Parts: sequence; C-alpha cells; structure tokens
Amino acid sequence: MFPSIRWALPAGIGLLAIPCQTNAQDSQTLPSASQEVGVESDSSNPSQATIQDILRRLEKLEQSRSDDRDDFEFELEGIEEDLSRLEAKGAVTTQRSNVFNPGLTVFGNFLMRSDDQPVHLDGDPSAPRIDDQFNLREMEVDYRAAIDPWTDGVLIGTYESETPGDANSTIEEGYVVVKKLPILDSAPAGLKLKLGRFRPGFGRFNQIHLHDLPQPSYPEALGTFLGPEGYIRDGMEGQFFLPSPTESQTMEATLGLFDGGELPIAPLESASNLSVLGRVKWFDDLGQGKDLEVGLSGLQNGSDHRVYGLDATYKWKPYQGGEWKSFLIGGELFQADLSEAGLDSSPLGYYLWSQYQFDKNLYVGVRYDHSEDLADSSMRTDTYGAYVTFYTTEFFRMRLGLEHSTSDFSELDGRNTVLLETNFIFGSHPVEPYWVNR
Amino acid sequence: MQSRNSLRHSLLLAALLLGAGTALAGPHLPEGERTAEPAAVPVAPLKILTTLPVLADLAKQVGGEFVSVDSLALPNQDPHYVQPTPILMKKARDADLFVECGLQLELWGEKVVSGSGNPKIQIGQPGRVIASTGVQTLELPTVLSREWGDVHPYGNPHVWLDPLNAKILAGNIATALEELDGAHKQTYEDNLADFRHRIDVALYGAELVDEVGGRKLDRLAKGGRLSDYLEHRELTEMLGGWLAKAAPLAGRPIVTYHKTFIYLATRFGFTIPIEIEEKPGIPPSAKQRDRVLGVMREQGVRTILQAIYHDRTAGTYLAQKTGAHLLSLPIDVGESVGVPDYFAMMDNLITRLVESETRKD
Repeated sequence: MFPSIRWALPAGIGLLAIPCQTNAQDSQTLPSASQEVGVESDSSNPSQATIQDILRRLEKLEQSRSDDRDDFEFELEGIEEDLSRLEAKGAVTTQRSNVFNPGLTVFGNFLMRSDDQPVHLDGDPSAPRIDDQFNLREMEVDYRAAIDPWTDGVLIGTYESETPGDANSTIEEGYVVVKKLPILDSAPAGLKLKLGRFRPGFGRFNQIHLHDLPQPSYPEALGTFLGPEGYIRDGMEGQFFLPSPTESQTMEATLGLFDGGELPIAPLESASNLSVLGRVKWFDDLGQGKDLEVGLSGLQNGSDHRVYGLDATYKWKPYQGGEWKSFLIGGELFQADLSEAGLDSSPLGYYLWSQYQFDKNLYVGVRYDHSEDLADSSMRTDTYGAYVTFYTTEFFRMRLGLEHSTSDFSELDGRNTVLLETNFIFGSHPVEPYWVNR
Repeated sequence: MQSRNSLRHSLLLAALLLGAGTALAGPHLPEGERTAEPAAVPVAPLKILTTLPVLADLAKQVGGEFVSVDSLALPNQDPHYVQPTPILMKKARDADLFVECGLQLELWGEKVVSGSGNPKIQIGQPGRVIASTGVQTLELPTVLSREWGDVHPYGNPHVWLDPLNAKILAGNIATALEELDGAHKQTYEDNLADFRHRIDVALYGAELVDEVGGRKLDRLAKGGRLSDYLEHRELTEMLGGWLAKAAPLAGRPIVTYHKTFIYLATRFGFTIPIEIEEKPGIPPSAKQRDRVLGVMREQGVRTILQAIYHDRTAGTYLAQKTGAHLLSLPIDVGESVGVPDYFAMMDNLITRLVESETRKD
C-alpha cells in the first residue's frame, strides 16, 4: 500500500553505515586533535600519550556510533508503527466509499390525544373523528448534500397522517440554495437564493418543521392565516444582509415570489397569479447570552389578499455553569387585508408563548393563541396550553400537553385536550434551529 | 389582465431583489489580488474566523501582524452546543479564512457558514480549514451507533489538549495562510517554526530541546518511547517543561466529567478510569453516580476534572463523598477565563492537576 515507504526502510537501515563513515573522517583529523592536547606528534613513532589519546577518542566515537544506532532504531520503530496506523486508517477510508451520498435523517412524530368532546377532522362534522386516538402523524425523510461548488440541495419527503393508518406522501420541501453564481466571485450582500418548494420566510413558526416546534402543534392563528401545517409553496426566495446599526445587531431581508393560491387568505387564486413575500428581520445580541429578534413580514397574492405579520422573540441562555438553563418568550401577530366576497376585510390572529429550561433535559412551556375566523372576524377562538418536554437526548423527546379552548364555534368551545407527543430522529441529524435551545 | 400585471410586478421585484443585493455588496477584492501586489499597496489583514477561541489563538500565533482574528464560540461555552445566531453569520460574512477543529465537534459551524452566504469559506474552498487534519485521533469508535451517545465517528475531537497536536493544528492554519497570502509565506513559515519551538521548550524544557531536537523528541513522545530513550541516553535529568512538571501525574487515576481529556491524559500519563457522564452527552443518572463513586473509592481517585462549562452538581456530590478535589478548568483560551493564550491554558491545566494530586489534606 505504501511502496515508497517500504523502499525507504532498507534505505534507512543503510543510513546506519553513515556513522562508520563519519568515524573514518574523524580519524583523519586525529593528529590535529592530539595537537590540541599539547602532545608532540610523530607519525613514525607515536608517543604513549598519543596512543592513549587515540584510544580515548576511538572509544568516544564507538559510543557515539552506538547512540546513533539506537536513535535510528528508535526512528525505525516509529516509522513502522506509523506505517501500520496508516494502513489501518486506509482500510477504514476504503470502507467509507459512500461519502458522496446525501446526509439522511428520518424524523418520526407520534401523537396520542384525548379529548373531552368529539373532534372531527378539519372541524367538519361529516369528516372522521380524531379524538382519543394514537396517530403516527408524520414521518419525514430529509436528504441534503452539496450539489456542486455553487449549490446545495435539500429534499424532504413527508408521510403525513391525519387519521391513524391513512398516510399521504408529499414533498414538503425540495429546493436548491445557490450560494454563489459562477459569474460573480462572491455573493452580493451574502445573498442566498433558494429555488424550489419550501417554507417561505414568513414569520417565525412558519419556517419551522413540526418536529422542531416548542409545542405539539402549530398555533391556531398561524393555521388560520397560512394553513394548518404552515405555508409551503413552490417559488424562489432571496435572503441577504442589510447594513446594521451596530456590531451587535444584524438586519436581514427576504424577498420571494411563489405560486399563487393554496393559502387560506386567497383560496381561489390560481397558481399562475404569483404571490410576493417580503420580510425584514432585526436581531440584537444583548450580551451575556441574551438576545432579541424582531421580524416584520408581508405576503400578497393578487391585489385583494394580503397578510402582514409581526413577530418577536427574546432569549436568555447563560453560558458558564448555567448551560442547561434558558428562557424564551415570544409572539407573533397576523393581520389580513382582504377584499374578496365571503371573507372578512381585516381578521386578526396572534399567539404568545414562553418556555423555561430547568436542566439539560426538562423544559416547561405555555402558549396562548387567539384567532378570528377569516370569513367572520366576530367568530373567535382562544386556546390556552401548557407543556412539559423531556429529552433523553436531542434525538428523542416526549412532550405532555394540556390545552383548553374557548370559541364561538360550538365544536371547539370548552374543549379540553391532553396531548402526548413523541418525537424521534435517526440519521445525520441537522442542527436544530438556534432558538430552540439544544 | 390582472394576472399579467401581477406577474410583471413580481418579475420586477425579482430583478430588484438581485439588484439590491448587488448594490449592498460593496467593493470586492478577488482573492488573487491580495497576493498580486504585496509590497506596493498596504493590504488589509486577512480576516480569520475560527469556531473556537483556542484556534483563534493558534491562528494569531502563526498569522502575526498579517491577520485579524475572531472566534465564534466563547471560551466558557461548550463547543458542542453553540447556537448559530445571525450575529455569528454576520461575522462569517466577510471572513477570508474559516478555521474549525473538525471531527464533528462544531456541527453548528456549517449552519453559520451557510447562513453567512460567504462562498470563500464553504467546504472545499481554500478559505475553509479543518485544523485537525493529520491528527491521529484517539477513541476512534469501532461501532457507530447512537446507542453509544454522542459519538464522534472520526474519533475524540478535543485534540488541542495535546501540545503535539497543537503543532499540527497550527501547521494546517499556516498552510492555508500561505495559500491565500503567498506574499507573506516566509513570515508564516517563520512564525510557525517559532510557535513549534516554543511548544517544544514548554513541553520538554529548553535544555533537552537543544540537546536532542524537538522533532526527535516529538517522535519519541508520540511513540511512547521518550522515557526509555532518555533513560538510555542518561538524559532524564535534562527533561523540563510541562512533562517534568507533570511527573507526579504518571499513572494516577483521574475522573473526568466528559470524554474531554483523553489527549491530555495520554500525553501526561494519567489514567481516566471512568467518566461521570454515563455515555457522551448523556447526563449521569443516580446509578451512574454510584458507579463512579465505587470506582473512585476503589482506585483512590483524588481529582475530578471537568471543563469549565460542564454542570458541577455530580462532581460536587462525588467530591464531597470521597474527599477528592473538583477541578473545573478552562479548556479554551480567553482573558475572561484567565488563560489568555494556549501556553497559559496548558500551564494552568498541568499546574492545577499537579497541585491537586500532590496536595496533602
């Protein structure tokens, strides 16, 4: 495997001869050495002192040669050990020949719910009931890899189940991120261009997958305005940095274009009538493990459907000696501006949430959720939730939740629900969103 | 008609998006230009961003006046769990060189780099350095499974705690600097040689380094044959530096919280009979604490060693039960943790360990 090194070994051994040559050279200088000790030199009849001197020097050289031989032996032993280590390492590398395969992660989310009144799918009394059931509600397969020097690729396929055993497969996300264009030496303003199908950068929770949420479900307010699983659409989006006021702050902007429709605020729009999205995000590092993020989002589909969002999150997470404590508080407000028959002109929705981390594995959180119906903003629903989350590791989590709803819709009003969520991950897990704490 | 207008509006926005990005980009110097006219025009220092402060210190030692250095993690932060915030991404945005330890220690680093949008520091680019390249890692797992906790598939990543590895890390940084900034190649080589010599002197003592040479000493130390060699050559008395100072640690059992100190133990001769963590990244259960307690009593452990950022609850409990000393020490570099550079950090570790092991109480 390493022929050149193997050839070098005999050569190294050959080097052992070098001290002998050195000795010979040194011997030729002996007369002058004897002169240094003040002995008269006579080549035909050397004195006793000269002989003694020669013998002493010979002994010294013998010792020196012996030391050199020891050194070389030590060196050779080291080379042989290195060689065997390298051979072992080479064998391992050969076995890892699948390095170009994409990183693969599987996420599973299993939910048990118990309700004190009947719950129908999508609130439709004619649809199947989903109360008091176990349900493997999501299995997500995440592939990601660099495509070439300019682009990264992500594909996330999901098996979703709203009723037990009835799973539908969808492409939740499939996109490329263009990090750099071949025509430009560097991306302007740190521009990252995303093309494909993905979760557009509207607000906070919309960009988070179900398994990364700090609660067992998306807030009702988000579902009302962007869809029950959030807004996922085909399109393109660019994210770039804006000049920021200070070193400890960042300003980022997001602009996007997406297929129209498939949005609760614009149910009848066609895909070809594109949606336009804009977002500005301000992040302030307050020091000592505290930071604040505020975002302003807007989404327009056609001239009659707009939704605006304002989100804020404060995080505290100390470093030394308190690495397993943290506190989060945040919220998001949605305001629609609609001009379509059958829809209210300006329904509102918002949620507030907080979470405290007691130790490495234990989190406690609450959420309050308010939403107005898009068709009639006088029809309101409020949900209060409390949650306890326990992680064995970042790959396995159990969460117990209690939710209580009051609503102008009779099916939702007075409902109490117990939720037990289990989340498991296997494979090359990507780093979780930075604000989730792990 | 409305649809067409909307499409036109949308395309206009898309063009604006790209235009705005270009306008905000500011002036840009291609990488090649930095090396083209080194002497005539004062060139801004290369911006080096490292994941860990200890790597920033090594980069500073090698880069000297021709680099500006910053790091993402703080010295009192667990390097496994740094949160890739927008501030860190902004820091990475205009870095010329991004240095990480590698070995899957800083998984969050990739998120910072991709969020920065800086193409110079993406994987495979000259501006990306995996500093641990070429280090012979320890604890390379034979079976890769999450069943074993947070295993690192390429071996234990806390490599910088062996001074011989620090020389390799610094060498990899120097190689990248030479590639990016060829005009100052000689300076980087000289700085690297100087750093390596200072490590040699700190580790073996100046007298021994002069007598035998750092390179040979390194080879002997790596092969575990240094003591034999020094005995054979009757040079043992000449050994100085950290190795001489750490002589009382030889063969002593020291309990650690996490698998952080295997490189330190290997170089300075102490053993780690058990970790407080049940498995890497898994906090100790009561049963595990009892197990550790048993081992400590059985082997007469006098020191519990853990990184400054790890939870001290279990260590404090074990120290109280056994009378051992709990040492919670920085394993990274920074004024805020009292060890301003690599030498101070290593010196602190050795000094405190020896004090703990030799203290009579």
